[in-house]
Amino acid sequence: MLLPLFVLLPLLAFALLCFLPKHFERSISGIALTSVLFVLLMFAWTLVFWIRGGFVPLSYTGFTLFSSADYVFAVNFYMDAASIVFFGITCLLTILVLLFSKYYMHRDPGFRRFHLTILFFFAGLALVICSGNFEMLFVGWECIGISSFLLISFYRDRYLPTKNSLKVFALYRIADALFIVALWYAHHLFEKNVQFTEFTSLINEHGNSLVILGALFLVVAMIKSAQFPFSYWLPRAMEGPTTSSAIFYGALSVHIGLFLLLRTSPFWEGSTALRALIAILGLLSALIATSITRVQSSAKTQIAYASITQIGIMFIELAAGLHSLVLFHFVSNAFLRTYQLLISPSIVSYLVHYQFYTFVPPAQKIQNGFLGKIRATLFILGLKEWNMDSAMTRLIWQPLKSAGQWLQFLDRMPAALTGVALVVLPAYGAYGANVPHGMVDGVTWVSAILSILLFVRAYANTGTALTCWTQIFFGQIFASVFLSARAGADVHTILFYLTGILAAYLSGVLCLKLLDRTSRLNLMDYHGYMYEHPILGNVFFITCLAMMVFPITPSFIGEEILLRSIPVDHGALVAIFALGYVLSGICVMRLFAKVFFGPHEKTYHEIAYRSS
Amino acid sequence: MTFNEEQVLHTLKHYLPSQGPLKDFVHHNSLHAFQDMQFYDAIFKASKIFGYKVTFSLDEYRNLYRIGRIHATILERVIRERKGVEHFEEWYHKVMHAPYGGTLDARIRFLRYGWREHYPLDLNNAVHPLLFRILCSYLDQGIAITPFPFENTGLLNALRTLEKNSLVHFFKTERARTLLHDPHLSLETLLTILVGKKEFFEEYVYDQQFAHRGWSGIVSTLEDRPETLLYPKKIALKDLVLLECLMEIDALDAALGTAWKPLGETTDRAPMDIFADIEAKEIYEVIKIWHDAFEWSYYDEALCAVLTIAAQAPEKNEAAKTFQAIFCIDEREGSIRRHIESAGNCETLGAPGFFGVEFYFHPAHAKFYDKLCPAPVTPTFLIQEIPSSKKHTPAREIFYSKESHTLLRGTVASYILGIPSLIKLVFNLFSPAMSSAIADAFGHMHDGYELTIVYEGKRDETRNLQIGFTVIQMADRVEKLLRGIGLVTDFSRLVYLIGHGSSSANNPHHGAHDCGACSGRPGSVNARVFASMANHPSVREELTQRGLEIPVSTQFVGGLHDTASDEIEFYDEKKLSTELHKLHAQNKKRFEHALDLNAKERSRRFMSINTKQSLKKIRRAIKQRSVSYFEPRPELGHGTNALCIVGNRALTRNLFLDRRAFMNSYDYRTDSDGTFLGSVIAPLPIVCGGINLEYYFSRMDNSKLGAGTKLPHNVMGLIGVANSSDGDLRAGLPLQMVEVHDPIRLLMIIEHDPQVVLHVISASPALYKWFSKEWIHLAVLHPTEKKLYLFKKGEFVRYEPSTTLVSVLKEDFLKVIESAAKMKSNDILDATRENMPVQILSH
Repeated sequence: MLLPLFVLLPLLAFALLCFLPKHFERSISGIALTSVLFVLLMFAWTLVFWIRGGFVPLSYTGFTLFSSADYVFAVNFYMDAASIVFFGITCLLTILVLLFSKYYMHRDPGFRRFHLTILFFFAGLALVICSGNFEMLFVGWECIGISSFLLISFYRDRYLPTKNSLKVFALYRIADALFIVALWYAHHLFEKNVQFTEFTSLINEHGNSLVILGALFLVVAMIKSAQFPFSYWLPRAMEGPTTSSAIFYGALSVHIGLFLLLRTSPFWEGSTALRALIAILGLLSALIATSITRVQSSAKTQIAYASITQIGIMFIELAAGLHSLVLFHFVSNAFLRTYQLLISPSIVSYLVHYQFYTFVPPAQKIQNGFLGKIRATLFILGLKEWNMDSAMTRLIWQPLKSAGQWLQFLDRMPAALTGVALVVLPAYGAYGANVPHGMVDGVTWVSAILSILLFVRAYANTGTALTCWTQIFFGQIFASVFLSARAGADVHTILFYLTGILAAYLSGVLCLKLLDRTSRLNLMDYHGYMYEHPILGNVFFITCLAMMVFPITPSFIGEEILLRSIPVDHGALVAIFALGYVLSGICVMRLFAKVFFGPHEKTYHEIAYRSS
Repeated sequence: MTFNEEQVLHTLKHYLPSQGPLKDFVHHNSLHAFQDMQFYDAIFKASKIFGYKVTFSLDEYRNLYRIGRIHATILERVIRERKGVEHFEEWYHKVMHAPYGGTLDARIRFLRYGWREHYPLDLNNAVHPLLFRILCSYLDQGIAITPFPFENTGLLNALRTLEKNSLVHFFKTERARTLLHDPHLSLETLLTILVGKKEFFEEYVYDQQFAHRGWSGIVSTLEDRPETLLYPKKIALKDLVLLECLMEIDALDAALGTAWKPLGETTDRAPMDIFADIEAKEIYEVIKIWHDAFEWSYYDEALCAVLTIAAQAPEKNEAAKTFQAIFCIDEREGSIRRHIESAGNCETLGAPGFFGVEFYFHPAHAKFYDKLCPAPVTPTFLIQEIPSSKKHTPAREIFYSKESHTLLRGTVASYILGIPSLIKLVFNLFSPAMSSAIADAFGHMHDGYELTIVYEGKRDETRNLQIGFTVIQMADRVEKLLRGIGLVTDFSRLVYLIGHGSSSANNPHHGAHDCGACSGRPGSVNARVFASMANHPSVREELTQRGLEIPVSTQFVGGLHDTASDEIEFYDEKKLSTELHKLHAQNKKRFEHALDLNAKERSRRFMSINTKQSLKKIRRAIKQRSVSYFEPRPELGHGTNALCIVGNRALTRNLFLDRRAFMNSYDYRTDSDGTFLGSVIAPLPIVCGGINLEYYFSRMDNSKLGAGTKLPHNVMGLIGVANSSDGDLRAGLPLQMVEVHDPIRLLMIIEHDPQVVLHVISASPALYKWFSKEWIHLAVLHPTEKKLYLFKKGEFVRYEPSTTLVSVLKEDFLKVIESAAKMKSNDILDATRENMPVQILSH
């Protein structure tokens, strides 16, 4: 019964905090702490209940938020051993870090914002850990992504935090898209919205077809837990205050991929090949991460890669079926790395003092010969982080950017696009599900391609913000058209989808107009308008969330329903949708960051150098 | 136009930050390169070239005026003085109302911006992260598990060997690789490839290096002073520039192939003379007026107070003193001196915290020496600590061990250290205590160990140092200090010398809180050494012959005050006679009580401490701050420093200066012709002026000249801090240290005849420049005329304070402290309100 409160209490505290003046530090910290403390107490009660119940997973069936013929969004909660361990640690560490931050963050202009973000993160994590089905888990998953973005860009008037928050967000978005694809596939496989309570019985019915599902979740988990070749995001995420780096990237956020693997273990446990793959990938990550750890000469990045190494080992333990060991390893590693990060600034006084008495210049280990060659090679690779970041840029982001630059002509045809959209949409509305069969393919593919082209263009757009915003909007429109065309959805569902997007678009246009009446705000450089217009910035941020179909508007449900209706043999369409999902998210956040974050070119107050 | 590589690099080094590795923090003027110019000309020029914010913005000044922090009378006076009475109205209007645009555009950075304009490539993004990582690995003092291979051969050579030995290439493209191995590699070759036209070379190098002034600065500093590292590295700024150019060529070739031209050929603008004079702008004049008014609003108050006291002070308090205590001139000691004296019948004096004894210190079992004197001094003496117990190594802290990060041992560590981490964290939060990971001021020296203070014919041959001092050398130093501070008669039975240091946790900048006169170290050894010298019978004999008679019954005792935890430790107490020991025990109680009150006074600025609590609770809270990992402000360092008073304590004893004044004792009566004055004030501009100007610039532009907020800092190679994994090193002071600071220049007040002072400062050009170029203001209080004079354009002119009344604190001082305002935010408008006015205390 208490399970929903795990999410609601921090959200309530979040709402309260929004109304408190910024400098009421005691109240802000007090409310945040109290809410999490209450959750911890309730968790303790739940724990007793669970133990007395003989360790049987707990579940809570709430209400159904939305239901249609073949789609149900049910607010259900579920807690098994993995949830219990993860949630316990989450509560404990959040309380300790909030206590730490009460003093550490004192007088930081972002004191309240920090607490808001931590609460939002906590609520998201509670959702992920305690949700009863994938739909809810995914909502939490997205909350973690957003709060991560906000904490990395905590010092938002500097360049590197802004750049790195986008970098990490882009990777997270890929993980989210894969998650959605997995949900779509699961929906068709089980022919309903699965609740975790019925997991075991369902699993037995489907054998080998689960492997694809398992593999999808594996990639999602690898991204979120910074495994090779995605490890480079973790050290770059440590841009915020030490306390947030410690709790997010030392302990909770980085282990969440592991939790996902635990939660989805029925999908892959039956497949020896998948288990072997998990073990091999884990081992590979551990080996590569440790080679990078060895050459890290800064305190926090060293801890980051050391943690990645351990998670790699946890993957191996998991593949071996040692669930309890994995849980113990997670708990222990989370505590250790959090603590190491929190005390990392003290390493100067400690190590310099220690060396003062014991220093011996290190011996040169690299000599000539084959072993020397290997060592030299590992050193260079470690220093370059195995080129992970640059490979990702070269293989994915740079080609996209080039393509987008080539598509510049799209900037000049807003009228044409509006025309197409205005013709297609009402026509579609009039015919609805009765569109002649021959036309479906045409409409679907034209809209799908248009949508992707628009997103790709928006991604590389360095022109005006308004043009970019409009391109994203039309991209979303065409995405909705192709989904509904193929899904054969009725007008109702399409409207469901479009209301949120349209509202977001209009509100966004208004914000941008208010900011800059001449509409010449370009996306070549960062503008840092948060400094002058914090309220407008926050409103625009929420608008952006709506535009990227974050679960705060009906669009989210609309999108879910439409996607689920895509038949299972249309994998290519789903892949296009996933690509669009990744790109739209990145475009929206990039636009937001370029306008409101980053160092500006104004000359009346100080800004940090780009490199700092 | 020719390109003189050496010349360009030489000048470049001059402009880069000169902050050394964090282990020794020596404060210095952040704009030292401009110190040959007049203050305002210098800062505006620096601002124009590098984009620094060197004053408040016009809005900020106008708001400071609105809240009363800038006084109207002072502002009007400044306008009249600067612009003449006839132009008053015109300028008053400009100052108050005229609109002006922003001023923070920089000359450098524009040339290299061309890369972004012409090519789809962000060169800084492509080069900086890896370049910084290489530099950090190369200079690393012991964080990485694998040290940089072949580092003893120099940066470029190490890379060459590494590249030869490796199976993968360091550079992506062939051209950069070939160039790297070219034995005749020169900067000119590389710049020709990158820039083409020679006339742009210099500008390009400046743009390039100032895109990461932190790393360039540390490289330049370590090239000149490799001894500031425990693990010295061979590095030169030229290597850095060469490497960066190579990496740029590599990045351009990799991204664009042959489709790029040298930068000089893509621009049609003329090369810029970065250091050309700046054009005079009206806004500079307006800012000068405002800033003068801001400074003088405080100075005027302080000068008026000093004048008032001088007019009423009795010539000298003749009553015999229970004890005398010599503290460091440090402005943080101002409050404890006041609290010690408030119980009556004792005297405190101020002298630079190395107490005139300069030496290297070799702690027992240590592998290195510490330099314990002002940074510019190079000592020729060594003091060794002689251990009385067997060899001990400092306690290890397992949570910092490299093993916890490796693959196998790291796994074991992550299994077994988790729960201990949790326990540690809980203890740190609820009951913080000193540990080996915390900088401990008292750990600097072991009281139980003897020191080799007296020369016994031994030398340290490797560094050519004399171990200990001869009797003459000791007598010289004791005499110089005592005569300098005017302590030549009326010695009490016990004379204390209290050095200072500071303990703090999680604070990479902890050195900046220690004693500036001891090169950023605690002053305990110096205090103990001086006391021992002054107690030495042969030294006493020698001094008597020189006419400085210290009674046999007088003993000197050294001690250390921890300015963060508010504790005092005394040294060699066992050597006191039984009778003196008793006296000492009584005095210690007084010190304890003074520490209580000092803690209370300090606590007014700490949000987490309730100033109205009992003294005991406050002391405990203050102590805990110094050992709390979660506390980014263990103390507030030199924040708010503003004055430097050289004169009798009588001038300041009854003044509440809110810990803002450096105070050097000096008695004009014992030095009527200024023989000692020169050596007394000689170190003050470097030490106090350096501190003051570093605080000034770090406060004015915390983003560029300061280190920004310390909350996200990441320790790089133990030598500095950066904001993230890919960031530039941040030189300067973090926000948490400077937020209470009102950025004004130092006002030095000397109590003597202006003619004597003029004569003394004219004798030393280095000293004279500080005042004539206006980096420090100089005022003189004529002790017999009771008049103030101000040093202006080479002469002393009469100064009459505009303020006529200094407020007298009638209430109980501690009550006032309890009700003092606390700042709402660290915005200057809020922060400055926490500083209390100068007031006369009525006892």
